Amino acid sequence: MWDEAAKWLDKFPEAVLTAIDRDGYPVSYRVPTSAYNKSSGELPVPPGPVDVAEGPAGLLCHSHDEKMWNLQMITVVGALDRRDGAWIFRTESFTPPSKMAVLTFVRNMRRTAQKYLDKRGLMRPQVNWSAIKEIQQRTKG
Amino acid sequence: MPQKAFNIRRNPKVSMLFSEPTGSGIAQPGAVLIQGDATAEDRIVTDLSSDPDLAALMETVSGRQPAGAFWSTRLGRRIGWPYYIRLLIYVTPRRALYWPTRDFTTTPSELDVSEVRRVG
Repeated sequence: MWDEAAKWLDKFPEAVLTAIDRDGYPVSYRVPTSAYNKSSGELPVPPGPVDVAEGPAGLLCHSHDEKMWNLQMITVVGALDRRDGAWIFRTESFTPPSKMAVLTFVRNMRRTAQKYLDKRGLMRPQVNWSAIKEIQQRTKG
Repeated sequence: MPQKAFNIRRNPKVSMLFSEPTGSGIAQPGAVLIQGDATAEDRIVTDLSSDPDLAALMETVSGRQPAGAFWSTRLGRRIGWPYYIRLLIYVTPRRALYWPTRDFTTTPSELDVSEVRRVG
């Protein structure tokens, strides 16, 4: 049932697991993905570094090269369960990423930024490009 | 993108995991998890030199990922015009955990949050 999630997780040896601790704060740590079960959508995970609570959780895998063109990002949405003293991540939903993730990134960036400005009746603000160029020049050494 | 700001305005509890050492130049990297309370300003920032912390962050990012300069080229500005239009998010650390070897099956040590007011 979770073959597609398994296929994508197989590309990443580790994922960042995010769950919620007893105080309601998110807690994130890396977990191996190799034991992901494509039939059940379950992944046994090590205990959290703090007192983690059962409930909403997610797995995030993300990579890109220095030019961002080989952007890969997947999110598996689910829950963290406590069973017989062990912690299990259980998949609830997975949407495969688009093939051109960087284009999706740019499209979403433009769309959400324009919507944010429109909702507040704001014109597109002018960026201080010379300040950016100056910083870039400085870091070139 | 403003989604982070929306999320924070709805629920300010956040965490940040620093666990990917690529580009850092650190030979034996550890990992740090910060939990804290965040605020997302309404102010839209378009001058990255207007805030010393932001300018320092931009310098770090620019130094580690020089190809990001694409977003300030003529083409980059055209297709990715919101890239340098930012909402500032501030996180007040509440707890900081440290794994010296990136082995997340080990128990991390707790850092004094007053020591992580500035990261650079």
